[in-house]
Amino acid sequence: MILHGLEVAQLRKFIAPTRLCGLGPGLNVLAARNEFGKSTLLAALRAAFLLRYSSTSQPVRDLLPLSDRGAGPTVRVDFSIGDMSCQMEKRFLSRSSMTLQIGGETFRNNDAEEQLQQIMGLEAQARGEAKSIWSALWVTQGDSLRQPDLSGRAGDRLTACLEGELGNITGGAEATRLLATVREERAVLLDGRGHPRGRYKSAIAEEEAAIAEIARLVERRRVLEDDIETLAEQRRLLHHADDATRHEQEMADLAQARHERERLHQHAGRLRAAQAEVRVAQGALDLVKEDITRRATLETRQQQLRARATELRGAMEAARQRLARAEQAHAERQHDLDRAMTQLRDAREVHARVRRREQAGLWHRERADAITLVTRLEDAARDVAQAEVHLATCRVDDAMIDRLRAAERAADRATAQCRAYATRLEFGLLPDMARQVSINGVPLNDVVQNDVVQSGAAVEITTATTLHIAGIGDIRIQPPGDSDRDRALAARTQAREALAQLLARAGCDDMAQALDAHAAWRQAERAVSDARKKQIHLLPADMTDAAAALATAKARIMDLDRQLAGVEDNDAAATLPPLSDAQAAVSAAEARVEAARAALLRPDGENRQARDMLTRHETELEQATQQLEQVTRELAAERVSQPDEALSARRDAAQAARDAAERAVRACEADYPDVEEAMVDAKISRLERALEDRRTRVGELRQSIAALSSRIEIAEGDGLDERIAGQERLRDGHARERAECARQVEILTLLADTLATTAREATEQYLAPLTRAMEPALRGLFPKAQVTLGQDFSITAMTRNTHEQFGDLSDGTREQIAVLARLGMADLLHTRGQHAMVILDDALTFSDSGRMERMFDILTEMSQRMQIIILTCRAEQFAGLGARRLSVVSE
Amino acid sequence: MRFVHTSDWQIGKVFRFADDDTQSVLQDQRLEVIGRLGQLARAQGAAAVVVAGDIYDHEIPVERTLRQPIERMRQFPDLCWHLIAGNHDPHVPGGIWDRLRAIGLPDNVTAHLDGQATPMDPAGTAWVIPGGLKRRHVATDPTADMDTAQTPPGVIRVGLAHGSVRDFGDTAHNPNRIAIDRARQAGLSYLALGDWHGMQRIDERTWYSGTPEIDGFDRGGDGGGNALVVELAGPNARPEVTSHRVGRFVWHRDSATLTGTQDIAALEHRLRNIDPQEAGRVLVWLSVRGALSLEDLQAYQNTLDALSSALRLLRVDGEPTLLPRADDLDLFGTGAVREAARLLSERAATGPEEQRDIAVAALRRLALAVHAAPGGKGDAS
Repeated sequence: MILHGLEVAQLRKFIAPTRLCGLGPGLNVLAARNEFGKSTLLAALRAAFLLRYSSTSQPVRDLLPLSDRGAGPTVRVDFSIGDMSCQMEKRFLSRSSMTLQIGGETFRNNDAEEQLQQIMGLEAQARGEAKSIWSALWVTQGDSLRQPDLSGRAGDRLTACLEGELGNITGGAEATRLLATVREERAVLLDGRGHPRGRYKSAIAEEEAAIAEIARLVERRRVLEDDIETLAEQRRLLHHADDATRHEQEMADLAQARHERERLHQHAGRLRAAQAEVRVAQGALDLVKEDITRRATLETRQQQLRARATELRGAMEAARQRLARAEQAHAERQHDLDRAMTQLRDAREVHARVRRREQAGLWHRERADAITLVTRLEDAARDVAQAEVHLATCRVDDAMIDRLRAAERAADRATAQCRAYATRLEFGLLPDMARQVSINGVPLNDVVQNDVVQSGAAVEITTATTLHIAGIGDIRIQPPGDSDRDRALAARTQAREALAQLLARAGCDDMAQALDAHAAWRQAERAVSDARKKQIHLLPADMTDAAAALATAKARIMDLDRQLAGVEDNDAAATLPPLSDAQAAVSAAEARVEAARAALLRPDGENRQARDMLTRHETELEQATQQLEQVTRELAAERVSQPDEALSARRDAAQAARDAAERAVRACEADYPDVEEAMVDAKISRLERALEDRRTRVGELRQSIAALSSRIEIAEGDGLDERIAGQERLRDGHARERAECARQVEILTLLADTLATTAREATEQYLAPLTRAMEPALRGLFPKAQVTLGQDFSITAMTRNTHEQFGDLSDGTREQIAVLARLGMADLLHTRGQHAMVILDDALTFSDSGRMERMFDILTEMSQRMQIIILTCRAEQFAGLGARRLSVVSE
Repeated sequence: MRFVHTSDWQIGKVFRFADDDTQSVLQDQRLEVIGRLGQLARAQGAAAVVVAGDIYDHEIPVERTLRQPIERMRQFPDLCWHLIAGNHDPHVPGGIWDRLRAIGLPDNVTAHLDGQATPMDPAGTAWVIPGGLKRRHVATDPTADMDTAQTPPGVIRVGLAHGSVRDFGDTAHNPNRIAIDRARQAGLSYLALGDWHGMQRIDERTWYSGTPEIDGFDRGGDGGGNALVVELAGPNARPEVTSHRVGRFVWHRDSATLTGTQDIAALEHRLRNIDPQEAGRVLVWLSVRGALSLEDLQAYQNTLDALSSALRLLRVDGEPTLLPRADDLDLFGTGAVREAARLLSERAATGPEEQRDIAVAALRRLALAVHAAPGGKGDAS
């Protein structure tokens, strides 16, 4: 097939009619920049040949221009197949249509599509899209790395060519087709991983569901059977529990048991009464015995008390004698104490007189000290007074000197200010010439010192001044006058007057004298201070006033004089012992007193014991006497009320009564029914409980039976048996379906495996010529290389020095091989008289310059047998190809 | 006295081998036959219908199934229907008969559950002495009490029981066994029995009516589909028993050995002529063996497809094996497909026994695919 012209309109970026010009046999190259529309032209070509005009699939919708989604993309193609010249025009989507002219005959729409498929060998596919060998040979941009997809009729045509090459029919294509059919049929039953699907999967699932449902129903059936059995059992139990005869018998048994218990209660009452009689008789007997025993006890007690009284009287006499001896010893110790006390009083008297003598000596010394202090205080007071008088005569104190200094500083400041306004006269006179000069009549020497005048003395003039120079005349100097200078002069005069007044008040002529007077004042002040300090040193620590201290000292002297006047004379005192001896005598006397007192106060055990013993004996004797009298009275009273004989008779009667009561109890016990009351109670309780339980049980059973009946009714209403049978039928049906599917899978698998084996063997036979067809082109690029083809005609590996899998080759090599494979196939088709044309869109992008050159040679050689169209954006690289240069022209 | 004797309705029976459509039709006809029984009774002037057990197939049917036969009988108020429990629907406590009693039976339907003799019709000229089963299997003779059953003097005593008069070789486990001379022992004018699905005469007074609608391929006697009309002139009169066809379906079991097209044609002819007027009433269980060539296999498959469409049910066991012939392989051409056919043929002839069937089927399938293909060898021939 040779493409002669291609024109598009309303197709993607080509809105206006655009024509691809220059197409012809052999190599054709359209070199244009990116986004020029090269791929769009190829897409238009593929749509024209491979897509139905009425298709609305996505590839068709992709042809719409972006600016007008309601347009109808149009493709017009001029081509020839052999000697047959064809013109085709397809309009997609909006007002879709197709026209095909073959020679002089024109076909339209569906007829045109059928004719096109017929002459091109296209295979109808889903959604109107066709695939064929053309799809494999027209390589779109980005597909050059992939090997051609030769499924469907493309593979068939290739296979047919290959078989033709062999010279006989291998049947490989037919086997492959049948294999595909068988696999499709098997794919209905098995998924890609060999798992059941479709009706096979449903059969398995439904069989399992039926089995599960059967199990559930059988379980329900079992529960139902249990319920029915339980219901029968409960009805039997109800019948048994609700038996009137048994009920009446148990009621009678209960009444009998209650009667028996009543009889037991009555007998027990009689026995209790007899036992009470025994207890009463025994009580009376016990009382009599107690009376007898108590009388004997009283008599014994009476005798014991008499003996005790006699014994106590003897003991009391012994205790009295012991007490008399103890009291005699106590009187002697009291006498010793009185004597020691007298001696102590005498010793203390002597001691007091010695103390008073010692005190008078102290007072004498104190009086002398006081007189000395009075004398010193009076001298100190006189010194202070004299110093204070001298201080009072000094008028220049600190305040006065401060005021004087301030006045002096003010006069100096005023003088300085006057100088600022003064006219300064400086003199530099010859020696001894100063006396020739006078100022305001005052010789200059009186104004300034002579040596100063010679060296440059200065005179400040503030008022009009006349300078007279002897032999020369007068010079009058008039300083400039103004108010400030006048105020300064007035201030200086005022300051100097104030200073003079203060000096006069201080009694001084000048500041030097004032300073001397101030120094004298300071000295007088220190003299006053020293006198006062001296006076203070004489004062007692607790007094600050010197006059008060003096008065206190004088009063103390008078007080001491009074106390000394009361002291005895020295002659009597001289006979007294020293104070230490008097003190020792007092201490000795005190010790004796303490010893006597301790002896007196020391516990007198003998006296106490004797007194206690006497007291205790007296008490006991009194008690024994009282008790004896009491016992004697009681015995007498009892015997009066009941003589001993009467008491014995009473005891005999009580003994007889008790024996009679005991005999009555034994008779009653012997007559007791031979039945345990506990057993009768237990029987009554059991019967009552049984009756109550039966009533409860009947109620429960009736409720349970009603519930069971309801449940059974519901379950039976569900028809479990019938449903189980129905589910079993379903299960069997699904099992048959599953088995049939499994068998079909087995059959299809065997068939597919067998067909695959024979197809592979056939393919291996005809792949050899395809390999041979590819080898010239391949070896042009890869010398001595051999390729291995798969059943789908894809190159699986290439052998150069080593065996390399296709996927492991570099991108450039894989792309070149993929292009070469297409060229080889096209060449094979061409050799077998089939239509072939190759279009490469932006292919060989990964090829280096060396391989590109060889690819150009291969393409040039191939183009001698078929049309090859190359679309590229690399014009320079393909410039050396020597191909037809295509151009695109828009109207 | 004239009455109709029937049994083994087994309403609600499930046919596991049948597809849903066939199952529905078969179940439906088991109900429809009750109407045909009633019409037969009316046509024959019978006053009563005795049903000798197994009215239901399941002890616990669904409510609709439970009521359906009762409602059919209610439609014949002029007939007295007498029912007893069979081994499929025994009268167990809380069971199906208690459910029926709770529902309430029509006045013209009597369920004999207590073993008491009851008048067969309002005139009381004949009395039914029932022997229904209280369990699915009983060790004692369910008709034993008939010997002592009290009936008014001079009436016709008709025994109605469900069980077997023969042990079928299993002497150890032989439930529901009925004395074969029970009619004589109990002074019965007629003993109407159920359990066997085929009609069977035991003696002149003892009969199995069989099921009125056949429900299987392997039933005894004549297989069923009949009801008996019994005429009793008096208590000691010999019963006149006539069989009447009431069933709709024909259940046919057949076998064939196929070796060529003639055998296939003969088989087709035979099956089509079971009921040439209404093949839709025919259910066939066919056992096939033999060996056919590839072409004959195709013809056989076509025949089966046609018969499956014509008959109510065609169940086929087995299939003919492939008879390999040299020229068969020519059907597959000369290339890889022929080679595949050769491999399969070889496997079908000499492969493992359990896989030969698969290989034959695969070969047949391959042949069908080749012939079905456009421009296939079949088209060419």
